[in-house]
Amino acid sequence: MSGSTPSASEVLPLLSIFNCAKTFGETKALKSVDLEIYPGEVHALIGQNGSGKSTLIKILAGYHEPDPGATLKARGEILPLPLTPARATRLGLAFLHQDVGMAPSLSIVENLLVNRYHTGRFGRLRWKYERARVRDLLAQFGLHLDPELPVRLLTRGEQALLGIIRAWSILEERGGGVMVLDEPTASLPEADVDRLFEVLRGVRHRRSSALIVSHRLDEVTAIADRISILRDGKLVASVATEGAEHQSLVDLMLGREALIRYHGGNRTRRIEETVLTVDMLSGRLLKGATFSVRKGEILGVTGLTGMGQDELPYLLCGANRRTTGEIQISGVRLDDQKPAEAFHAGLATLPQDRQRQGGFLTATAAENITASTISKYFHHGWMDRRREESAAMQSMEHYRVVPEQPKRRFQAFSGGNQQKALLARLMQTQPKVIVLHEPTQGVDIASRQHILAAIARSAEEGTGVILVSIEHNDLAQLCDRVLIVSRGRIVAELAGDEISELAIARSCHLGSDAQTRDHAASEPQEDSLI
Amino acid sequence: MTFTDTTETQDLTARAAVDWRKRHGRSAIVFVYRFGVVMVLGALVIAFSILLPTTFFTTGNFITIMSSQSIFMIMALGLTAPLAAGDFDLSIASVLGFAGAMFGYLTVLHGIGMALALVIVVLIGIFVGLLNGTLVVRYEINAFIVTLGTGTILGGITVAITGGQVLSGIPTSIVNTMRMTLFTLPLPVYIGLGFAVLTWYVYEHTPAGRQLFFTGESREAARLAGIAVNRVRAIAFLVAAIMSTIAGIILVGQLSVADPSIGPDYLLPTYAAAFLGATTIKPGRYNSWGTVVALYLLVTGITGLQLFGLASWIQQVFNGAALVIAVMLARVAAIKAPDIA
Repeated sequence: MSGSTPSASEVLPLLSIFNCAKTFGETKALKSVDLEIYPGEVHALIGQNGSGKSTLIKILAGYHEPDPGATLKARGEILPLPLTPARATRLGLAFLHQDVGMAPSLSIVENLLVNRYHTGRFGRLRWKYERARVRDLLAQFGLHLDPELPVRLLTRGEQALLGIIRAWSILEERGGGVMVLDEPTASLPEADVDRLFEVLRGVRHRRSSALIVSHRLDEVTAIADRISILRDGKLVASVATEGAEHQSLVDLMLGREALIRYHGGNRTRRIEETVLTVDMLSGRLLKGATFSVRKGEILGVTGLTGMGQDELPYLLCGANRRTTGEIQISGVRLDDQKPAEAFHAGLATLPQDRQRQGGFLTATAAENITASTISKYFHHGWMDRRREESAAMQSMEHYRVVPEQPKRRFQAFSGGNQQKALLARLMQTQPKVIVLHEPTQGVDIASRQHILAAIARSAEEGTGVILVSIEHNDLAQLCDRVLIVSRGRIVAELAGDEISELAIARSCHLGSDAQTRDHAASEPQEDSLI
Repeated sequence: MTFTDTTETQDLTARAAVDWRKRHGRSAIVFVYRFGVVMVLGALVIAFSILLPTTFFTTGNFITIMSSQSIFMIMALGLTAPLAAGDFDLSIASVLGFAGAMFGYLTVLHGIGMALALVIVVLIGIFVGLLNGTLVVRYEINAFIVTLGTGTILGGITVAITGGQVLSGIPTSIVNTMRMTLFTLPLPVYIGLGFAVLTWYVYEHTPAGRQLFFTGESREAARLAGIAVNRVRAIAFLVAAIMSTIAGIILVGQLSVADPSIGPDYLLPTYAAAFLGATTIKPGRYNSWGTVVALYLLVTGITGLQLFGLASWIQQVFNGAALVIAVMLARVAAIKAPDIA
């Protein structure tokens, strides 16, 4: 770490909050938390889902009112609480959420300069001047993009960077402040994470600070000067990253809770017959994917973001229209555009977006878990609620969904627990093949381990697993084979001992230069979409 | 420790009391959340009964309230199907008017036998439902627009076949049937309640009901969970159209005339009842008994106020207000109690 952390005696904190507590009904989400952010530092706030991170951030953003007794100071000056979103902005707090909040059809200039145009006479917008200004700004951060480009044409990573640049430029105009990034890397491929960190490091040399909220310890240690750890609503430590031991940080974060680690490689594999064959499958981005999955095999599919692998789960289950190709499950051909039929044939899918594509938010946990197997609980013309709930309860126990309340609404569960409940739903159908799309995205460490263990377990029981993920670590831990997708084509396959985080990352970045599979090489390349 | 400190005991007692209050405070909120509309209905009945003992609290008025609602009940229950599936159906009122007019047209103007006329009218109702469903699902057109269109077309045809005239001379057999009473209540009341039981059974106790709810909750999630979303939506439009057709035929029997202008009046109260119904009994879901209670709440309020001497305009004001308040309540409840299902 290059940045030295200033001590309190030298510099006044840019922002500090003391004795911040928050009670929701009966639950204490935050218990007397103190947090100080110094100018020029990158400060990470980490903790598992439900540790109180987002509550704290929402108090700073003015969405929640803290319990009485909290004190807020900005540059040593005491400020009245609660904040309002407008006052938080005036104080120099800029918030960046997972959803960057860009208007997709507007250009980069328009998105960057919302309401901050320099107008000429008669209020005329000086487009030429603005464009040049934006181009300079982007170049400062190493982004060379045409300011006229509509934002929807940018990759997710570029959009995230744009969001940071926008927030940063607003802060600088106001003489510096704190930029708060809520899980900035949650939906970014690794290459973009690096660029994002590069941009954040730039912040450190200026008047502003950054507060990163994350549950990924490995990432924040690479970028943060200081790490504050929340657990069960309490601030358990606030330490300089330099000299802090990774393992002790993990232990601080998890507390007494035993960390269940899945040890890859010692699975007893019973790889026998093929359960899924895919022949020349093409969609919008994916072209001519051909592969097969055997019983009990875990097949990883990865690539850089936007390379087409994200389309695979939805082409397989029939949610997206395929342009060519054939899919067979144990010899049964799947028709296009019929997810219900795919389910029936034994192919179950865990979509990426658990809020929108996965769960039924206002339905109960039990209803969510049995959603794909409802008719199993229909007896003599009546839904057998008791059996349904006890089956759900059993699933919740098995997949460690907490709290174990089948009648609780799905939306009241944390992200990790929602994901585990959805995984439980898939497994209820006793599928032959499961297709998992980013199953560990945005979940806390403990849930991630539970999910990985559950995937391994189902493979041991003979389910074929397709794991589409950009988490190279997950893939390296679990997979028997990993397919690398680049520009819509499967360009490499790693198997057995070849599989490691590094090897996967390397293959992704090498793309089509890597060992090329025969059918991919023989295909014409001009229809690549990226 | 061998003895208990008194302050600790006091502390424990105090804490237990707080816990008790919290727990019961919570369940009180849940109770109000679930049965708020029922309680308001009860309060209205009691208040009007005390204030208007001679006009409101009478058997006659009770029968009027019950029987005036059977058409709305069948319509509103039918409407909950597309609403639960996440689609608007604005054609239901036109289907009601059209079914009645068509029945009159066939029996009065063409002298076709009642049984055959019934079959033809129901078949046309089925056709309209399938048309709505097909246009929405197959051609992916917004349901609001499709049903606004089909409803307007039906409204036009209704005027065309009747020449805009009220048709009298409806077969006496259907008129008499609809005026049959059991325990002083006319037959349509029982038909309405029968549909309520049927809807309750399907929604709460069959996989179909669950699939319908899932489809409305998140179409994408339902599709990926293996639910045949398109079929569910199409069937929902079919159900709404058939129920409205049946309501239209019953209405003609009740009135003993076919009135081509009657349909549109039924649209807003039906929506108000369905929306208000979704805020109670099973809050957040379109449900059978919630709809029934909501309907009675609306009619009780309107009847009571009219008996106070307010003119008939109060009906529109009351229904409109109830519609907005219902949606607002549902919103507030969803924010205040996100974990109660």
